[in-house]
Amino acid sequence: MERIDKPQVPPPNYLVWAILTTIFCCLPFGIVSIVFAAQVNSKWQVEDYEGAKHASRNAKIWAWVSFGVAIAGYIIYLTLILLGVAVGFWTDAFNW
Amino acid sequence: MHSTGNLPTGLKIGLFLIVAGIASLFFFLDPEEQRLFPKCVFHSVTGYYCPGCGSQRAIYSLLHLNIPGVVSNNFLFLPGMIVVIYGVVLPAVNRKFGVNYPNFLYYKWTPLWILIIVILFAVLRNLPWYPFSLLAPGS
Repeated sequence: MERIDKPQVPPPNYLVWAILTTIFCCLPFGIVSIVFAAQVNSKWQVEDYEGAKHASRNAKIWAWVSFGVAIAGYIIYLTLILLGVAVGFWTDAFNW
Repeated sequence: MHSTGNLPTGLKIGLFLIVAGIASLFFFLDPEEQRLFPKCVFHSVTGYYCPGCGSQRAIYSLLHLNIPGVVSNNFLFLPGMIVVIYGVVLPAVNRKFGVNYPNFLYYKWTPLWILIIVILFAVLRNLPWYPFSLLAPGS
């Protein structure tokens, strides 16, 4: 008879990274990551180990998406500044 | 990604240098005045504040030990930092000393509470009325 052993520890929920990207970064994708972190914990509790692992992967992916978008945004922003375009663009477009 | 315990030494030193470099940027340059620091894309596009708005000014304030400045720029900055430090230090302590303290980040309701707090914060800090207006960055 096949038996699935209970793994010793839950898969990482990446909640720390979700919080980092949500509060210390600038884009709200980290919230998606928090949602998946919640799923890791709740699925682990009801002994859905595969589901918990899957949620763990998603939590990781979305933390990276949030981080990546922020970095990409910053690189674009820096490029615009270096091109001397940003100043005029932001002041004109948004009346800063 | 879950812990830094198994990173190669070179990478650790590299990470440390990057963090130290960014920290000194934030110490010497005021995000309020410098164009070098990115504006929040979310804020630029929508005009609303996201949960992360004000964090750069909060880092600047924190490095100058201006705690009221940290709180007024982003109310969740300090609590968030404490949770992050806890989430990094506790597993490291467990590993290092071979103990097994429970990690409250893995309790069932913790992420949901954090989610509720973050979303509430995002909504409330955009309300123009006192006392919610205090939650907007810089007030």
